[in-house]
Amino acid sequence: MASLKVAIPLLVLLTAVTIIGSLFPDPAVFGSWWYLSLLGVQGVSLLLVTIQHVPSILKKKGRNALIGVITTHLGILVLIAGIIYGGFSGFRHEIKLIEGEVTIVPELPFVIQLDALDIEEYRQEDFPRMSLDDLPKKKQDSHLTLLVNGKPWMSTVVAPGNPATVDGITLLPSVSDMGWHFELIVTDREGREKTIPVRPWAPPLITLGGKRLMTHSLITGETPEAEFFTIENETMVPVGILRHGEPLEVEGNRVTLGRIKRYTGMQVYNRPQEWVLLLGCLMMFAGLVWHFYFRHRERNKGENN
Amino acid sequence: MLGILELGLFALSLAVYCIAWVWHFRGWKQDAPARTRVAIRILWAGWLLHVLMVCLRWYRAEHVPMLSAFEFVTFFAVLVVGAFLLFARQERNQALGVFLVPVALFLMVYAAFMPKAIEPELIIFNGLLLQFHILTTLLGYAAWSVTFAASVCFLYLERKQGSTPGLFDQMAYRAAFFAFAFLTLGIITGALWGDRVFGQLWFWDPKETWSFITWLVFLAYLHARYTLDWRGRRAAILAIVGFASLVFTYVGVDFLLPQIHGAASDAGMGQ
Repeated sequence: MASLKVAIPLLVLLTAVTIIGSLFPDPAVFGSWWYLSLLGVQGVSLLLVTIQHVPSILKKKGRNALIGVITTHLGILVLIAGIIYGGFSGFRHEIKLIEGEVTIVPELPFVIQLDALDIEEYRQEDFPRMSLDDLPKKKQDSHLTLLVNGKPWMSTVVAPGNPATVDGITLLPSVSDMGWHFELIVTDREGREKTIPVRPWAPPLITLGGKRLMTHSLITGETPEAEFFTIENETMVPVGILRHGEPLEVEGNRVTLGRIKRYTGMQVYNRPQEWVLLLGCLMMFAGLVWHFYFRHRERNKGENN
Repeated sequence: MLGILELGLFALSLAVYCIAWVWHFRGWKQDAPARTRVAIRILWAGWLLHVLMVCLRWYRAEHVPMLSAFEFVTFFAVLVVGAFLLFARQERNQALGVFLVPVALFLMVYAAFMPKAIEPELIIFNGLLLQFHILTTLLGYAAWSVTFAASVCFLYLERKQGSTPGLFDQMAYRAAFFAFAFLTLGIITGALWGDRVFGQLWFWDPKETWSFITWLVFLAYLHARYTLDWRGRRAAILAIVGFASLVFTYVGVDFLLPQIHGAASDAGMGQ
């Protein structure tokens, strides 16, 4: 294990396995026990080889080279340790926040209220090669209030690329997972009203007069509209389109569009290992710079002599 | 109007690079240092036109000229030629250009076929972190291009002259050290940017995985030289493998496998 004769073939093996792993569409192979074990074995081998080579580096290349080599290799070990530690610690939840509503997330000391989603869209002419549905957003700010015991505790604004970290918990909205949460108001033959909320990420199955209906998203152009489908022989068959101010009649029931609110996907996570990872990276890079600086200086000294 | 000027500068710098390389090649083949000196002056002229083109792009796009695929490859070529001009200040290094300038020419021709329209900067591209990620990665790529060209130069001279040109062997090693340090920094800053945008440091998407593979090959090269005392031919072949891995990471992966960086390139990012 302590020999380069083991370390180099291990490095080649790690490279080969990573190349093969990259051919699989599912990156789960890299989280598998055997890949992490291979990383762990590489780490141990690295540690042993570094320790074994301390005297020879000291003798041949000097004290400064040794400091650089040790710092870099310790950095890699700290990084590997951080990755393994990360596998056993922290939490991550993917949630949906609806405008004006409060969301309770497990393991959090506060609840999250999405006060407003401030969104500005690009126009089609800004991205001529993209379709209207794929246009990116110009602005995508989520205004949040965090509540403790039902009382506002703090407010913050987050956006993709600009998360907020509160009490070690990070709140990061999704770049693309956003849309409209809407309500359907169904009035039956007797005039009784029923409100059905439609969450696009889990659309409800609505039964009206024996007909099963489904709608899953609201398209907001000049007039918001939702397409309805029925399910026949396990396929979705279009039934009609419900527009704002234009009710849809289904089996004697009248369906109208109720309140419309924006929603956004959000990641909520705690990651205690990130300082370990950062430390590992810093050590690795500092070791490289140290090594290069002194190598260069000593080489210049050698050339001058 | 400025867009046409930019394209004109691009085409002109490509043409000047071609002339400079032909001149340089002839000077080298015929062992005529005066001709090589002229070739390097022509290359300087081409490079200044190229830098002007990149500055114009920066002014027009109102964001750093490295975000779209076209901008990335063009900037890469600027760094490759710039690296050679830096080395070429010493006459003994000048043969490197015969092998390094074609890398830049290839990049320019590749860029010529890419969409060149300027699109607005996406909110996820805001901030210094991404710019730092692209710049450090590009510096790493450019430095390894030097390692590659110096290694090819070494192999050619060794085969032709039967001697071991230690100058190019050493040049490849020094550049490799820079390349490794910058690629390391590029991967770290890329992970930090991915974390701020997608909430995760590492996704194992093919581009990331191949960056890691390239990093491992660079690592193997440095260790083979540092601890196993590899020199000359064996090290040069490993350097070429490293360059092949780099090219695959940048070009091959895009065509073969779907990925997060693909989403970014759909949105105009070429990295």
